[in-house]
Amino acid sequence: MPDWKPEIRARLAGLRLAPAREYAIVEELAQDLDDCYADWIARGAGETEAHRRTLAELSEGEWLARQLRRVERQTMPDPIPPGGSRRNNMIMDLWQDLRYGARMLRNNPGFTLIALLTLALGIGANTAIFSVVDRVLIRALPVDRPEQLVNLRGYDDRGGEDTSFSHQLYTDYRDQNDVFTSLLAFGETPLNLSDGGQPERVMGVLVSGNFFDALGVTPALGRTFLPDEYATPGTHPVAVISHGLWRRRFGADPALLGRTITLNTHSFTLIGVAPAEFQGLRRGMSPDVYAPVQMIAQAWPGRGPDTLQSRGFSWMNVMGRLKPGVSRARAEAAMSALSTRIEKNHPGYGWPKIALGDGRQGETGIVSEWRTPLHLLLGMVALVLLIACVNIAGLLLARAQARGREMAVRLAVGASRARLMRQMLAESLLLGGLGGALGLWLAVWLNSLLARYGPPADSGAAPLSAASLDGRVLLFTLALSLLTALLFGLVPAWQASRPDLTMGLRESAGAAGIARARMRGALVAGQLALSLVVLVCAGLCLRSLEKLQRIDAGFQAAGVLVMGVNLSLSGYTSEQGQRFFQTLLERTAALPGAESSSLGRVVPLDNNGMRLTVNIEGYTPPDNKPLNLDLNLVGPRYCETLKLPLLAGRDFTVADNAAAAPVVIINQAAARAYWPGQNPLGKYLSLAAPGGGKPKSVEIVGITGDSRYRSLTESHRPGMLMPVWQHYQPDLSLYIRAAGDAAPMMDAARRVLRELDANLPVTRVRTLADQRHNSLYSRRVTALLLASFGGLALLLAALGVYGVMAWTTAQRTREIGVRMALGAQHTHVLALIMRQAAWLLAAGLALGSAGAWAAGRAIKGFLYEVSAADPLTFLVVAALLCGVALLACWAPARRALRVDPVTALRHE
Amino acid sequence: MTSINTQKFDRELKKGGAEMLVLSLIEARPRHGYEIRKLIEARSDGVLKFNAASLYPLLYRLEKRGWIVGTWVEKAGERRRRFYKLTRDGKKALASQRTIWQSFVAAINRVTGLENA
Repeated sequence: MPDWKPEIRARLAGLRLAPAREYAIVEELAQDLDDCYADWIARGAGETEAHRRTLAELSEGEWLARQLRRVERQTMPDPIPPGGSRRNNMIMDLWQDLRYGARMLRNNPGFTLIALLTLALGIGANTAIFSVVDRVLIRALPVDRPEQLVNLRGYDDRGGEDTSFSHQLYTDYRDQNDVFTSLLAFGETPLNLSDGGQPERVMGVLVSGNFFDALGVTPALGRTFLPDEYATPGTHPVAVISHGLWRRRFGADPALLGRTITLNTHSFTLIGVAPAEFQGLRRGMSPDVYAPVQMIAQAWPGRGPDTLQSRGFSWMNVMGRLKPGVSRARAEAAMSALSTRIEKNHPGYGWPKIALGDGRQGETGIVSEWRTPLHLLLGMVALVLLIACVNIAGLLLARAQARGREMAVRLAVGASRARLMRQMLAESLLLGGLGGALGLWLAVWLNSLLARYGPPADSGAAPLSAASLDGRVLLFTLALSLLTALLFGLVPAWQASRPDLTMGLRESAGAAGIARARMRGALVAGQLALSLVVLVCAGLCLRSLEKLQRIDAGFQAAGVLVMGVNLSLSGYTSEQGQRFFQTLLERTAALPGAESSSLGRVVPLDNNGMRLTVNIEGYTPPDNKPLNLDLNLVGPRYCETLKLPLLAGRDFTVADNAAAAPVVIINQAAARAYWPGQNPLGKYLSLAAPGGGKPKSVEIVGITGDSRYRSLTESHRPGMLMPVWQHYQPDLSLYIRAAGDAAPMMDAARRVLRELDANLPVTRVRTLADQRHNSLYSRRVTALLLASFGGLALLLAALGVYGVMAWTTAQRTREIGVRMALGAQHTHVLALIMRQAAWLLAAGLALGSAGAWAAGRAIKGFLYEVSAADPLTFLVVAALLCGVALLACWAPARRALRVDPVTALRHE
Repeated sequence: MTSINTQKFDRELKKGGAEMLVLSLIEARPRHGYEIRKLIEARSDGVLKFNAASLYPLLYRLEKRGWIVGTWVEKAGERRRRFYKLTRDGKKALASQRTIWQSFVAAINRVTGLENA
């Protein structure tokens, strides 16, 4: 029987029918012609005659096509290609590849689910951490041409340096420099905001008049400061508020401009609202009110307008915008020359040298504690993503095995290898894209979690700012998804596109299978190694956190309530203030459940501290350097209230007031350093009087044990306490020692304060234990995140181990069957499976230990009293990894043991 | 009496006839393409003849219109064939075509019969 199909196809060629349709028509017509031919033969026609007459049924040339064209719809695009290379339309081909990929993913829901989940976790964690890193460490200020901005820092050759300048020095710099187009200054001060409603304590910034103009920040509403509002002290009470305050407190009222608010006790007119993205120039702080520095006397009680002319009071940060074409080095030289000149005229005030720092991100001092932990976290999430990639690559390799036949067929019908790889990569791309989208969603959730568990707003701990996901972060996620897709897709695509043709067609594991098994084994070992690195880093940080938490602060933080009471914003004279605090102490000490109460200028462990220069009779400091001792000004019964152990002498009492002889309590470190082998009690220190008057002698009346002052990690330094009644301060913290838990006393203490002065804002009410807790905030968050990432890495690695073991065990079903048929014991089979797992594990542990050791050294600075090669951490992590890996082998091993030899031999 | 205008007349003559032939042949039972071809030839004593290039496009057109539906049927010992059967729409269409055709024939008869009478 002749084959009619080529004849028919030739006649249909011009129609460009969909392949399935063309196939059906050819089939039906060919059959008709077969019947026809058979008829002619049956009627006695010769073969040639029959052939000729049958072909006549198709009519001449175009007839059939013309008839069909009226009926059949033509489909223009190529069929989903098994690898044809007829057309070179990249976009079209990519679209087809993606569609095909989507079908493949839909057809393997289990694989798709696991792969997407893995990817989402990996990409989500990376996006979340990146968005925080970007917000805290990378992103430039939302101002005009931020790359032109520089931070000024003064320094000298003796190691002194500061980023704070006096306002007078700032104006000198501003007026005399020739390297900046503009120079601006800013300094924060807390403000008590009331506008008829609930008084609220907000962060204010006193700024130079050119602040907004120099930055190129246009207000969202209203205007910024005019030149004459900055010309004379105290004459222009105007303020610009932050977008956040405008929305939060004023309900985004557009008619707000011109309204008067009360800051401290003075009226200010609102003239503008800063744009939403502008959060001031200091990272980690978002001030709510901007006022001209000329209003300092109104905004900062206790500071007169003469502060602006004082050279001794350094409190403003200075930033400049370089003139076009002026390099930072040239500007530094020019500024240093200028600064030296000024310092010569005013010896002791100012700096001989000026360094200019990159100002793109503003002032980053506060968030600098996050620099190391964030880099560490970023590195670790990258490793987690790598582990996730390895997992998916493993899954894809397993699938490549399953699709060996499909690939072989495609190669056999002429698809090029590049075309197949492209097809496979398109599938990976699709996975990466979908995983990225899911990851983004996860990152939003993670970010909101970070924001929710941030430190209390005024705890002094720098928050991991709740970053919003914007274009930059989206771009990052997109790039990451693509990179990830390439990472996990390339090797499987390479592998899959070169199956042994005949092997593939016979659909059997063989040489290609073994190569793939090796590849998967190597991937899983690498994965175990990476997990070990992440887990060790997490372990080291957890250990160091645990050590930090066990540090003896030197006083008993539990059971003490602390609250900030600041009279300076409420118009008290020092006599009134002292009376107020005295009553406060008496009333709070008498509260039910209270044991004692006291006051202090500096709250310990608040990254804050005072120092004072003293002279000690009979002690000459090395190099004749001035002797600086840590200082705190405290109320009566301070040692008793904080349970700061008194080693000798006495605590302060109410009697240690301005009328009494000046006294001081020193700590053990001071006693050891300056009176070695002597009893310091009854000896004297002399204090340099402010303004260069006659030094004042103070008698040592007590010695306390050493305690941590600024932070838990600080070493013990010589320090002293002085009675606050002899050195009055309006801004103090009240301590109440409770017999039991301190937290329930909060309300009672607030009530007492309200009774004494209803208008007094109370700030930062917390327990001293909270204070201690919050001082470790960045460490705790880092350790927690690392531990979570470590857990994730462990889970992913376990999945990887499970995947590869289940797969190879399944591959060896026949072998196991044969062995068992020949009399192998269960233990032998188990050993067979476990030996493979042990190899993977050993390789992973060896590789990972090296990596973890290197990683540990890299984060050494972040660890506290834990060695980078801490044996306990390494041991525990290795044991954990072994345990989990063996657990992951358990199911495949059991399955292998249950193999029925007969079934196994029938396998394949 | 149904009136038929000239254009419709002309169209039905050319196309309707062929369609009606096919539809009536599968009215009683499903048939495949070659069978339809042979039946038309046999029943018209070789006067009417369809070649494959004409029949199949016609079948596909009818199928597309929803009057007939073709299904591949595999019978024991035979090769897979595509059988066409009449749909409900097809039955209605056939009935209406028959009416038109009968009016047409009657009209012709009346015309030609007058001459003969």
